[in-house]
Formats: sequence, C-alpha cells, structure tokens
Amino acid sequence: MMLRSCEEYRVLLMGYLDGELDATQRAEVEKHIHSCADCSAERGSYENLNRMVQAMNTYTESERALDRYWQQTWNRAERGIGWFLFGAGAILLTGYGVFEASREFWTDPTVPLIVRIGAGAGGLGVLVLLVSLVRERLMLRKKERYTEVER
Amino acid sequence: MNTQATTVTMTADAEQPLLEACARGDRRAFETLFRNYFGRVHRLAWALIGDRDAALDAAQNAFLKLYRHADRVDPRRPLFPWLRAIVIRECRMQQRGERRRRAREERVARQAVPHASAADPVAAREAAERVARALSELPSAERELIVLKHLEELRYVEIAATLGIPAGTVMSRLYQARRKLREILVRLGAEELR
Ligand SMILES: [Zn+2]
Repeated sequence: MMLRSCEEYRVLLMGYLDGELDATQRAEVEKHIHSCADCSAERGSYENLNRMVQAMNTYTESERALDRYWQQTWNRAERGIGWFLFGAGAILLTGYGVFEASREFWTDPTVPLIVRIGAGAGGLGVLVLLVSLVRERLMLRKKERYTEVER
Repeated sequence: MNTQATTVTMTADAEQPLLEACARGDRRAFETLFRNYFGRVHRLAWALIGDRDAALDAAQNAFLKLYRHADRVDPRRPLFPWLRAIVIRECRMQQRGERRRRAREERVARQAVPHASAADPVAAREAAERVARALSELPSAERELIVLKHLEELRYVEIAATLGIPAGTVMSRLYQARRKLREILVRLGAEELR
C-alpha cells in the first residue's frame, strides 16, 4: 500500500466525511486516523465545522416575509413589461410625429429633388438603426445563455 | 438529507405545467414557483454574498429571469438546478466592484441574522450569523464550494458540473476552503474548532 503523508490524509478526510470515498480509500483513512492522534483530532474538528456550517440550513423565510418578497418581485416584473411597452409606443409615436411634421417638406415643389432624396435616405437610415438596435436588444435577451446552464 | 423545514421539493411532473404556463406569462403559475423556491434561492444567495440586501436583490433577479425566459427553460428537467446556476451568476455580478464590496462588508458587520426557526432560536441565529460572516471573508470561489456542499448538499460531481471545474479537484479545493473557513471561525471565537 502506498504511504501517504498526514497532509494527504487530510485531503482524503474531506472525501471521507462527505461520503465520497470508495471502500478501499475509506479503510485506509480509518486505519490512519486510528494510529495518528493529530489526524484524529482534525477529523473531530472538521466534523464540528461541517455541523456549524450546516446550521445555516435551519433558516427559512417567514410567510410574511415571503408575501412581501413576492409583491416586490411581481412589481418589478410588471415594471419590466411596462417599460418595454412604453419604449415600443414611444418609437411608434415619434416616427409618426416626425413624418406628419415634415409632410409639407415632402410635398413642397420648391425643395430640390436632391435635398428630398438626401433627407429621405437620412431618415430611413435612422429608422433602420433604431430597428436594428431594438432587434439586437431582443436577440441579446434570448441569447443570454440561460439555456446552456449546467444542471 | 435536507434539514430545511418548509422546502417542498416539487416533482418535475408538477413543475412542467407551471413552467409552461409561466412561459405564457401566467402570474399564478409564476407565483406558485416563486413561493416554492424563493426561500431556497434567497438563502443560497445570502450564503454566497453575505449581505441580506444584496442577496434579496440577486434572488429576485433570478426569478425575474425565470419569468422572462421561462420559454427557454426545458420543462422536462428539474427547475431548481437552473435557478441555482442563475443565482450563482447573479451573485458573482453583485460582487463585482470594489466599492460595493466594501460597503457590503460594512453592512454585513452590522446585520443580525433573520428568521430563526430552530429549537433554540437565539443560539441558532448566532451560530448562523457567525458562519455567514466567516463565509463572507472567504474568496468567492471557495465560498461557492462550501455553499454548494453544505447548503445545497451536492455530490462532488455535481459541484464540479455547477462550477465548471474538474471533478478530480473538488476534494482538494474543499480541503483548502474548509481549512481557511476554520481559521476564520476560530478567529471569530469558535472554540470548538481549535
Ligand atoms: Zn496523520
């Protein structure tokens, strides 16, 4: 059997306490603990540590706290929907407003054709950029890797 | 073995219709999933961040993501591991930024621990408070290991998969993490660990 140092046994002690060792390793650790007072003390100490950390598990939310957290979370969810609708509405109305306000410009025969083409291309460009921006936001949301999560 | 009193572990069968309804924006379905899992998610975030306010925020963010992306969650698989991975990511994001970290540490030092429900509430609260404080002093990678082992009670292979580290390294990493945690707890007055 391979001889291990106490330090190596202490690493194995973790697997021992967590129930992650096979029968052979377990027997080896037990044998060492019986013959080594230091490692035996370490075992007791880590058992205490594990119990202490486990104490965090006894905490639960009270019903009242849970009600409050639910309300807060739902409000935030609703607000998210609200902002999305607000943004979509704002873009539509702005586009319509700009078009209406410049209607005269498009039908005015004294404005040279080249200026109208220039303004039209510029406006179209802004619209394409805006749509692209919105689409990127939506795509980004979908691609935020929530499906690749390890479980 | 889960020692938490009120966790009702839903079966995947019960979750599936709820997730599907949630993906259609159904508020009741979302609320049912929320009430079932929020406590566990919040506790996990609290252990990972050490600050109750930041943990509440991270836990709520995880549920908002569930609501928004419910259509992307495979309803045939258990939901909680998905939530767990999301909340771990949320906690990592919360912890970015040195200034926020320091402000949080100051708050943690002042905070009492909420919601005691054990037989001896005061002692249990003090014990958990000390552990939370000690955890908040650990580097976050080591804190995640401890939390996944002791709060989530995961096997080494599950810890490795959740954190994206080689399974063969979990035991030695846990050893380093526990050794440091023990040192901190001893410094905070845990005599029984000497
Ligand atoms: Zn030894």
